[in-house]
Formats: sequence, structure tokens, C-alpha cells
Amino acid sequence: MKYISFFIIFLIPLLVNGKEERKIEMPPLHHVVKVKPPENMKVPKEFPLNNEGQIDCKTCHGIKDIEKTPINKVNKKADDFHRGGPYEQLTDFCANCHNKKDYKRPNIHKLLDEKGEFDKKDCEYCHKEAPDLKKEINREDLKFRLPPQKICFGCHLKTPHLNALNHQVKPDKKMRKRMHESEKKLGIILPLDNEGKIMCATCHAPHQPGVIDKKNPAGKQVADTDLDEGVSYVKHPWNRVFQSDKKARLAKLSQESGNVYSLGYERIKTEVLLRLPAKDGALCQACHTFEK
Amino acid sequence: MSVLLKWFLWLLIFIAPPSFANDKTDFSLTVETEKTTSKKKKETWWEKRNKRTDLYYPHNTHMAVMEKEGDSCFLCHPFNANKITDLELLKKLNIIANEPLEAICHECHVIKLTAPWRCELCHSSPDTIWPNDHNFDYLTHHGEDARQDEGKCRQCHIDLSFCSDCHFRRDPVQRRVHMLGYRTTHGIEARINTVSCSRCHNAHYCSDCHREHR
Repeated sequence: MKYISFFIIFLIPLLVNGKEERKIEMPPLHHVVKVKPPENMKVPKEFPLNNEGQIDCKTCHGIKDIEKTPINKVNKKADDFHRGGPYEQLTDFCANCHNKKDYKRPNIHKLLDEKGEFDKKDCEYCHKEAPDLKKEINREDLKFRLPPQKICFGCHLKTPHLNALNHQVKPDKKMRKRMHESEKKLGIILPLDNEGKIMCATCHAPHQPGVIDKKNPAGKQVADTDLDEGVSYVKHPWNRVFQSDKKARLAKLSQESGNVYSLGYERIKTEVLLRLPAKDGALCQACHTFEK
Repeated sequence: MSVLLKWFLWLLIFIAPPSFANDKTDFSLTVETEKTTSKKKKETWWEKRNKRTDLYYPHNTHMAVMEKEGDSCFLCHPFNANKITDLELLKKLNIIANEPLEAICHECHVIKLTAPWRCELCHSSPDTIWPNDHNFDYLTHHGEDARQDEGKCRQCHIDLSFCSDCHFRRDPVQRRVHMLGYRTTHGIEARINTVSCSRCHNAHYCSDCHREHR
């Protein structure tokens, strides 16, 4: 009995591990391999399939003998790590075989149809159930699927624009007072998260204009919203000045990190889903005030 | 044995308090210092921005001008789209993006001169921008630098009156360079080294008087 239990406890896991080690290690979320691409998919000639017509390491990676190289020793920064690279975005690489349009996410902010009505099912993208807009709604009634400060991160980055990160903090007493004053004066809301921190929805109105009544402070937002156009910019001569100001510091940062960074200035032409216009500084001044 | 132990414990209690008390004071001190250091650590550039004394930047004055020009806060504090996910790197990039330096300020205050151009308006302490070569004897030698690169002088001395106040001075009452009565003896030095006169005086300066006496 002792020998049997010894065998079960020590030897079986060893055998199992030994079997697992022989498998090809794959990083998480790696594309499936050893499969034939569907017939309607056109794999470019530069992306060679294996002898059985399957997707293999060499199909996507241009690095020599990659299948024999341990994962931690593969140079992931090499230009040909992803064939035809380097790519600005990984999805650009995927688009060599996949049709980008098929994978495009719906713009969930675009809630209204041609008649100006919305499907309550779309509300359930963010809310557990669609709030009844005819009733007075409290924050608790909104029933978000995630805490409000995290709900945008399913589709957007935590830092989708510069200065996003340093805004996600708890405003001090003086600023909170200023925010309340602006809310009253301008008839808007500047909601904070459950911990009293600034979140995306503090500045951004997530609903398409018309979903919430304009008279409701939660529904008030910038007028020139066009969700199809989104935020648009126009070139501006200040870009030359701005770039020369940042040039030396960006060169230093690029040297330190090994990647090239650039910053520029373009003037905002149209803006969307903002509680107040940012292009004239009104949104900034709802919270920020200066003594001099 | 137990009696000995008791005595030892009593001794410990009587001897120990002063040292414990000291420890306590020391501890409270450390706590305080830690508090202050943690406060210092927590203070970000944003919180420190109003404490800067080397530079004066009146936001409200600039805002009024920007409104007029149709510009916004984004001129200096951009909210450009970002794809970087490395937060440490992004913090560094944010600081670069947010902090305007010489090129941005000088565009209006020095190059285009659409804004006031007196250095001391923004640089409250001249020490921070004082050039190293501007020592006590620089007045004598400034002409050499000016002839080589006048533009360099103009970076700070924007108003031409800074030069002309001396170079075209005709006020005989206030004498800046020459000692009193120099007018009587100036001819000797002028004959020895005419070039030294011409560092400051042009030909008209001489001929204006000498022509009259001919």
C-alpha cells in the first residue's frame, strides 16, 4: 500500500510534467498553430505555411530557427519578429491575413438610430439593466457592470491620451469646491469615482447627445459632437514651436528607452462626448483656477 | 532560583525605563521625520508648481491672450492620443509634454515680441540667467562679442535702447565711463589709441565738436 501511494504522490506528477515539457511553450493569448487557414483566407506568399499547409512558427515569425529557440531567448524586438515588421500596432500585422473590418468593435457610444431612438439592450453593454430615464435616477440606480472608474478600460486604454494618468487622482478640497461651483453654474455634472477620484466620466460624457435629456445636467455636453468624425484636428503653426521645445528632452528619453518618441501640436477642430468644450479651455477651467 | 529571577526582573524594570523613555522620544522623532519625508516624497510637480520662485508665470494673463487668439490650455499642456502602456515611461513623457521651456516662452516674449520682453518679468532672479562671461570687466570687452554675434546679445538685450543709451549718449552731465575733466585730456588718449575711443564713439561724436572749433 505504501509503495502504491508513493507512486501516486511522486511519480505520476513527474511523468505528467515530463510529458508537458515536451510540448511547445506558448505565451498567453498566442495565435493558434498547426491549423490550416480557412479557404477564404488569403495568406500572403511572404508568410510561408508548413509542408502540411498549416500555420507554423515560421509563418508569422521571420527569425531563423525560432521553433528551436526557447521563448525567453527569442529577440522580440527584432524587426522580423513579426514578418514584415516592425509594425506600429500588432493589429496591423494581423491584418496581413485577417480583414480588419470584420473585427472592428461597434462604437457603443453611438446609441441612437436614424429615428433618434435607442435600443435598451445597448445600455446593457455597461449597465446591468437599462436605467429608467423617465424616473429620477440616483447613482445607485445606474448598476454598472464594473466600478465606474474601470468601465471604460474594457475598450479604451487607462491612458488613452496624455495627461490622463495624472488626472486620475483625488482632487483637493479647494478643487472639489471649485468643481461643485462649476456644476451649479454651468448645469453639468463632474462625477468622481467611488473613492472620490477623477475618472474618465468626470470629463467625458459617455452617452450620445439625445440619449439623456439636455435639461438633465448628466445629458449636457459639447454641441458639435459627431460620433462618426470623432475628435478632429487641424494643423497649426504652433507645432513648430512645440516640437522645438521638446526636441532635446525627447531625444534624451528616446536614447534612454531605445524607442523613438515624438510630440506635436494640432489645434482641435471638433470634439465629441465631452461635458464642456476643451478646445477653448472651458473644461479645464471647470476644475482649475489660478491665483495669478 | 525563582527568587533570583524575580530580583532580575525587578532590576530590569527599574533600570530600563530611562532607556525606554529615550527610545520613545527617538521613535517619535523618527516618526515625525518619516512623516515629513513622506510628505516631501508625495509632493508632485503639480503641487510644487506655485512655489517656484525662479520663474514667474501668470496663468490668468496668458489665458486672456489665448482666448483672444482662439487657443487653449493645450498649447502648453497637450492631451494628444497615446498608445504607450508603460506607466513609468508615460510619466516621463507627460512631464516633457506638460512643461514648456525656453523655446515656447521665447517664441512670443523674445522672437515675435508679441508679448512683454523684459527678462525680469518672468526671471525674477537675474542670477538664474546671468551669462558666465558677464563679469566685472565685461563692459570693456562686450564690443568684441557683439561684433561676432549680435544676435546672441539680442537674446536678452532685446530693446535697442540698451545699446544706444551709451553708444549715442550726448549727456555731458552724467559720466559713466570717463572721469571728471576727461574732456580736457581726452586728446592724449585719442592720439595714442584711437581704436579704444571708437569702441564706443562713432566718428560723428568727434566731428560734432571738432568741426565747430576749426
